[in-house]
Amino acid sequence: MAAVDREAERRGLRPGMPLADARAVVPDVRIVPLDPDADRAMLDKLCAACERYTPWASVDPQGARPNKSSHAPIGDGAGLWLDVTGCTHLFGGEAALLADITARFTRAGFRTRAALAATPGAAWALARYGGTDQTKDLDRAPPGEERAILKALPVAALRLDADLVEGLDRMGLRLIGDLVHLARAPLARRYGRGVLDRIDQMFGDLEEPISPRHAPPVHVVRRVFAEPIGKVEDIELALAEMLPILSADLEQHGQGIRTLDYILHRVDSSREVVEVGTSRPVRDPAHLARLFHEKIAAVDPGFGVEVVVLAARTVAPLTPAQANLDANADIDSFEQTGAAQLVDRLSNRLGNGNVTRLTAVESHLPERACRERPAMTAKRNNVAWDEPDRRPQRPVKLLIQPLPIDAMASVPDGPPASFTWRKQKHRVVNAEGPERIAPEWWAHEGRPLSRDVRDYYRIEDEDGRRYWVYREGLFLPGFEPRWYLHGFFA
Amino acid sequence: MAALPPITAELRKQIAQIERASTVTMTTPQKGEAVISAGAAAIDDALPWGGLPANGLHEIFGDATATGFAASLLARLETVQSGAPILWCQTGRELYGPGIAAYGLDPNRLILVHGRNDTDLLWAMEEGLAAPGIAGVVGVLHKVPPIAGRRLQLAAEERGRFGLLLRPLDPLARTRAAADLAATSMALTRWRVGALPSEPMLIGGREAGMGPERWRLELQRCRLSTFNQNSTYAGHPKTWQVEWRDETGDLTVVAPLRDGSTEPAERWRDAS
Repeated sequence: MAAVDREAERRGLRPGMPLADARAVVPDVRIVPLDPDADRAMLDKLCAACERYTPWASVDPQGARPNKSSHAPIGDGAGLWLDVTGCTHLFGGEAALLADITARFTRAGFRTRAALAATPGAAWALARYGGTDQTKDLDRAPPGEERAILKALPVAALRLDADLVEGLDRMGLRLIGDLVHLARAPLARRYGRGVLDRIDQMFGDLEEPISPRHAPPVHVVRRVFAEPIGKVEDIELALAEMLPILSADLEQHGQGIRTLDYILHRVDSSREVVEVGTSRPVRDPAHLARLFHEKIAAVDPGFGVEVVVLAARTVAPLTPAQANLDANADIDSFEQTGAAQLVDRLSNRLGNGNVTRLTAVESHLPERACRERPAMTAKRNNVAWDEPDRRPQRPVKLLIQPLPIDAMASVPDGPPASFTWRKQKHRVVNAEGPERIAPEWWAHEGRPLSRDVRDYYRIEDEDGRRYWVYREGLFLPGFEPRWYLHGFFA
Repeated sequence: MAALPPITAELRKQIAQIERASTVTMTTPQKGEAVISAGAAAIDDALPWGGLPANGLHEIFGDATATGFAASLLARLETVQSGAPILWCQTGRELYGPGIAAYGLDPNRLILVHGRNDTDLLWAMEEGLAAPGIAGVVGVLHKVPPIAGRRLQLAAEERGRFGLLLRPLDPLARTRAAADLAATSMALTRWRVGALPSEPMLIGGREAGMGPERWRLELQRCRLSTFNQNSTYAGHPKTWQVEWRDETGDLTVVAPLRDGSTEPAERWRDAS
């Protein structure tokens, strides 16, 4: 048995008991199979609910472990961490905050113990081992007495493994206070560094950061409607109202939006997130509204939306731009506002990968020499395109996948005399080549290099159309090279 | 410049108001208006504007040669509107940077837009034409509905942007291609570009590889036909045989055909 409820506990059942024993003690016990995934999902949901108190909430999956030492924990479930630093005054003080949390959980049918302390370790210990009064649902260590109270707790409150706790127990070390007074070096040597770390974490000598479930957005605007709204126009209107507020907030901090979420909480407690991204930091409300306009049309308000939140997920410094004094400065033309805003709009509707820029890559393989990168994130690289006067001739259109063609060559090593493509025979009247392009040996494995060497020809058919074809592989015994069409010249 | 009779000018103005078309299409071009050279003086002279107006929509039919011709036009656009990016909207992904760089167009200036369908592309083109900081917009489209074409032309004209419609001719759908060619469009000019057999390069009387590419350039339609600056009547359909000049980045007319003459249709097999 993994866990028992209050009534079962009263009738003598304990976690860790075999099921047969439990049935013997309480014949009508109701058994629910353990489902750790569901538990975790529920815990995550509760954590999300707790984000109303502080954005800095996270799940603590570690429950107290049952052990055979003299001190049994009051509660042994998993828990939630809430870092309420600077939030308590919003709820009328620490005591009121704790009362509110327990009241809400109780109403939802959960049995909780809440504790508030200066460190996560201390709070964990107090919530599970603090006080002897089992009916008291919350615990708050008075600032001056915290140390003394903690020292009186059993060693199990240090979040140690059950074996370790047992080992300490055998040595007569039952309370945290017993450990604190021991010499640290022998303790570490005997029981490992972990024990000392936990003690230090509890007393605040060692930092223990809590990573929140979501990185809390810093710039947030929230609107709660008296009546749920169901029209897409109204949702957009609310957005138009909130954007200038967010923009003013960002301006004060010298920040601009990179990704912005518009979160709609529906009446049936489901939610929808509309997300937009920008290619450079932006805080112009009109531009952001245009970006959302495309996406909001697709939003389904369901039974109505009661709360909307506008949260800047990623921001970047944005200082007022200074006019460029040096006309020859190497400023990327795409940094111009007009073009960047257009890129944002196009990318948000068509997808990031569909609005691209061509970048030159240092590679002699034709299909690798030119890459498309998303225009939103592409940075200018310093690889130059081939100089027009020294360039080898390259086609204006390059097939992503070279097409196998049937080609006839008058001499095996020569250019094709004719080839068939799309069921049409083309007679080659003019040819130039070969330009031999070998695969990149450092990225080439498996087949022998001689099979993947390409001999490129520029050829012209009787109509004057020009093609870029290549023969793959060298003429070697037992290997027949193949012809491919790779591109079209203008 | 030959002055139009007052009654003609008045009527043109009325038609312009009705059609919401402005100065570019219906009235004689003004000097100093931004114009892009088509590549050769002989071709520019045949256009009433003395080149292609930079504030308008143009249409080019053809295969890969059309891409080359378009790239050379956009490269010349740089002299009119320097540095600003160009939007290139298409469904495929086979545009090759080093290849278009050969026609003088810096691939770094391109923003490529890949749409799932023509609706996406037309939308992107219209957005591009309306956006500040964009020099020109290119769209590779098989079909352009008349209303969409008109919207693009108006947007290009109002914002003073250069719009280019590249219309691939699919050899497998010959009949549809013919219908497309016959359809009217709102573009200021319509061109058809195709490859022609080139002359081999001769060095010391001996063949030394392929010569420069040779195109057949046909001005099929022009929205305005009037007297140009040289007082010759311009804007008629006309065909040229041209050769690409790598060194200067323009075209030379190699063998001017007689006005209006066409070659047998068989010569016009296009491949994309």
